[in-house]
Amino acid sequence: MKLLSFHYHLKIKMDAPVSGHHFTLRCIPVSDSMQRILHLQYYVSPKDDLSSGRDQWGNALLCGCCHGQHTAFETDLCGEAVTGLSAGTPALSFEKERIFSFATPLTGADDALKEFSAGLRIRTGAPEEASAIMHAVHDALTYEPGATTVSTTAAECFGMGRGVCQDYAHVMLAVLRDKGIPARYVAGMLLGEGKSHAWVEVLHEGIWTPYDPTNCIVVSDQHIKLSHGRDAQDCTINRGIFKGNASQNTDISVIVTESEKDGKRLLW
Amino acid sequence: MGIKSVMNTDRLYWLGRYSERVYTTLKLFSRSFDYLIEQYGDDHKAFCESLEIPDIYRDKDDFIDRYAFSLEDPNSIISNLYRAYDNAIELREEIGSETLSFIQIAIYEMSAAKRSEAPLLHFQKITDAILAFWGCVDDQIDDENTRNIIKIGKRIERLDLYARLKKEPRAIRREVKRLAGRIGRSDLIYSQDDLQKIIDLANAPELDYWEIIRLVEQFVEC
Amino acid sequence: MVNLDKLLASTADINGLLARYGVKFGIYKNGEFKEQLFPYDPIPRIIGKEEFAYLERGLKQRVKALNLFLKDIYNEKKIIADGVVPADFVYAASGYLAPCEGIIPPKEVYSHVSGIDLVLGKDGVWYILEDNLRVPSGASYPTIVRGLERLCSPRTFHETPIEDNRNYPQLLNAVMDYVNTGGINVVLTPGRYNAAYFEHSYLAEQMSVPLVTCNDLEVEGDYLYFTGYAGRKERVGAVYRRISDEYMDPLTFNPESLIGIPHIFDVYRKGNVALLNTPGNGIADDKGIYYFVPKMIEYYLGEEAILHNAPTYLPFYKEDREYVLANFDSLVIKDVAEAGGYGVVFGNKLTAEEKERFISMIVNEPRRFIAQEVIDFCDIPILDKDGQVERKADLRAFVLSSEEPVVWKSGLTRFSRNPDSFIVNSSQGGGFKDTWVLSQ
Repeated sequence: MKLLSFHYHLKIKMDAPVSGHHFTLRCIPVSDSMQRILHLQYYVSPKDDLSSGRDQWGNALLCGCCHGQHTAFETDLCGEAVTGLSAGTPALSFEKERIFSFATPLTGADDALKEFSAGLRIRTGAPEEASAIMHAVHDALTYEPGATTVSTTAAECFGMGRGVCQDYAHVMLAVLRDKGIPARYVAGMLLGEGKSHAWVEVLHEGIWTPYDPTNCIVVSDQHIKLSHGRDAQDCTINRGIFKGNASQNTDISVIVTESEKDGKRLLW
Repeated sequence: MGIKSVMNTDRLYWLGRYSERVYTTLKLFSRSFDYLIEQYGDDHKAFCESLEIPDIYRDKDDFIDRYAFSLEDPNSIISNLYRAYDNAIELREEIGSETLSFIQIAIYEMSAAKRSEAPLLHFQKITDAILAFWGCVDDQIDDENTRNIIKIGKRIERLDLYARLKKEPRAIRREVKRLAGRIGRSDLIYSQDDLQKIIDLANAPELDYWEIIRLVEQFVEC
Repeated sequence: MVNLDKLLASTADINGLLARYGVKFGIYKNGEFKEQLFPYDPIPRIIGKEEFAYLERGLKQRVKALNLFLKDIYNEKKIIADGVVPADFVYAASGYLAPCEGIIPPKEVYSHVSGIDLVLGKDGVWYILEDNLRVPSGASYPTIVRGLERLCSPRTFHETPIEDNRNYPQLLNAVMDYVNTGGINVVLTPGRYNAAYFEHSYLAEQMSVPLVTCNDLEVEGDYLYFTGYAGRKERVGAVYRRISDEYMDPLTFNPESLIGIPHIFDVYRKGNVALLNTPGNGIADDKGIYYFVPKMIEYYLGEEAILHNAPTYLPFYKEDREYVLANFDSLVIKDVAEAGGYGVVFGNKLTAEEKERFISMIVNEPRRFIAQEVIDFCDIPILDKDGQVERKADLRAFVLSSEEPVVWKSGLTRFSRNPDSFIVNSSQGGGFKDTWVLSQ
């Protein structure tokens, strides 16, 4: 268990003025059985209108718009999180979670991935199954920023053997789903890291257990979850639409540090 | 009905304008045509000049054909009729199927005139359809605002055309008076100052037609 | 016998008046938009009182079950858990929309306007061809032509007890009022270049509600507004939208879409506006799910289906696949991903090579296809240039659902002009007839 303090900053610069800008932000962490969010503060600028909501998976949304002309858009989020409260989060009924065992366009297994999956000789349904898949995926890929883009599929990444955290997560999801195991994508923040992070949650006996294939660890108390979904597309942090012919430059910085205070004492 | 969309307000206004433009240019055209019968050469030039449209016509026969029926000529009567139609077709729920049908009829009659041996005779049917359309606007549209936006469009177009044609001051004054009496009876946003200037200009001993046109074109927000 | 003499003699006049009222059908040919008249045929399809009462019972039952299916699929998923519908058929279908998970729409109505296509077989049995639960169109045509028929031949309507069908707009408006969450009703159209634009504008006119495009609607906070000239605005409580799901909200659905109303889906999820029909309905009228509708009726209502499906096989099931491959020549194969009469193949019309290719597609992607016995349609007479001839026709019945489903006492009868064609879809030519339901 840890007490982490986080600071998330998103800045979009447009190279020409835009207007009629509507946006949906999915970057508000929610308290659950693994993490408790404290002292959450955020601002969004510029905005004329902001309201909160939830998406179909229960992720928190900030929906809003800015009518007037602007050339930059910023979101700043900070707070504290008590992490590692449990080993996983309870799932809904199997039927309601079953959708996560179906591949999406980003997580479909091609022949190579299917072969890879078939070659993993692990007893189906064993508790160590997910962990073994994570190790295999981790070993099959080389971490290389810039090798892939946000729309690279699991199959494409696996073919190249290179990628970043999003790709590691997609490849692991592709293998799990190929085996019929419900698994979901998680977007979040990691202790110390300078960017947003991604990992995977695997459903086993009614519990979603998180695995981080990029670091090859079972997630415990160094991760803060922002959202989950079928793949990265469901967890898009900022989705927007505006009028104006501008290209955007997005800059995200994440700082997660361990608080001085003793996390355990906070949990009375 | 309650509020009206920005687009529909704009369409009603332009439906009024284009229906008037078709009606008045049809009449003018028939008159010029009659005059051109005995003429040789380029007498259609005067017509183009008076309406401020570019003279793109080879000769008077070309003028008669294209000014009436060419869809490629943006100033032709048929082009203006199609603009009226393009606005009307998107206003069914505002003006009603019955009212809309007369613009549709005008379109059908225009195609019939084009195919006809004697197009000028057939023009009467288009004029009839537009007059019936205006009658229907008065008779069938319950919403006063809707009715008046069309009529304001029509009044503005007529004043604009008359000024371009340098009609006699009496005719201009009559049109200004009719417009001034109508303009406040809709939701349309307009400049009170500009309206006053138009009234003053119309009552001046010497008419500044170009200034009237300029103000008429800008004083309503549409 | 019903006297049709005047109607037969005045067909050209009626079609002339329909043209004058702009009763048209938009169609794209070689990428260019063309308005086409939708030809009216004067010989009505007449359905007796008893027969229609039977259809009515069957249609209400079917729509009730489909509505319960939609609620179940996007919430509890009991029908999957109980093994009645395989999960593959739901989650792999293009009509399933994940963003609709967990939503209960206002008053729990999903399919407010259902267009159910039926054909009458030569065996005298009505068969369901398909369900249309997204944006079914066509009700406006019989509605507008009825008034003209009555003017043309008053005596026929005096002598024959025919249910008046001109109440369709009122029925629709009542459904909108029923689900309205506070505010005005509007009809949302993609614009005049949509195939069914006439219908959008005509229904709006008849219901006296604004016809709007995406630009006229705007989300502010948790509500939807109709924004008008001079900055005026009014809250919207129900949207009869004739625009497909993927273009509704670029922030939830197709991000490439340039149209749509940003955040309308969030307002809908919060229960602050009713969308007719509900997004995500495509899962229930999917060609693959069609097979399961009779099972759904049994499952949710504990009743046997009153109306029959055309005999259908799912290559997904081994037994059915073997049957399909053995009887390929006598079947019609449909690609579940295609709509509007496209992607429909008659086994006996394929060359040997085409057949081989098709069979290998079925073996490789069995989930993608359904196969049906070719129903021997009952031909019905139409008036052709040289007199009456027999043609294939179907019937689209409309079911409007508020507290209880109501079947509109008429329907759109479409026929194929081409004597060899089995496809009566209006996007592939053909015309329409009025459907007269007898009241005695």
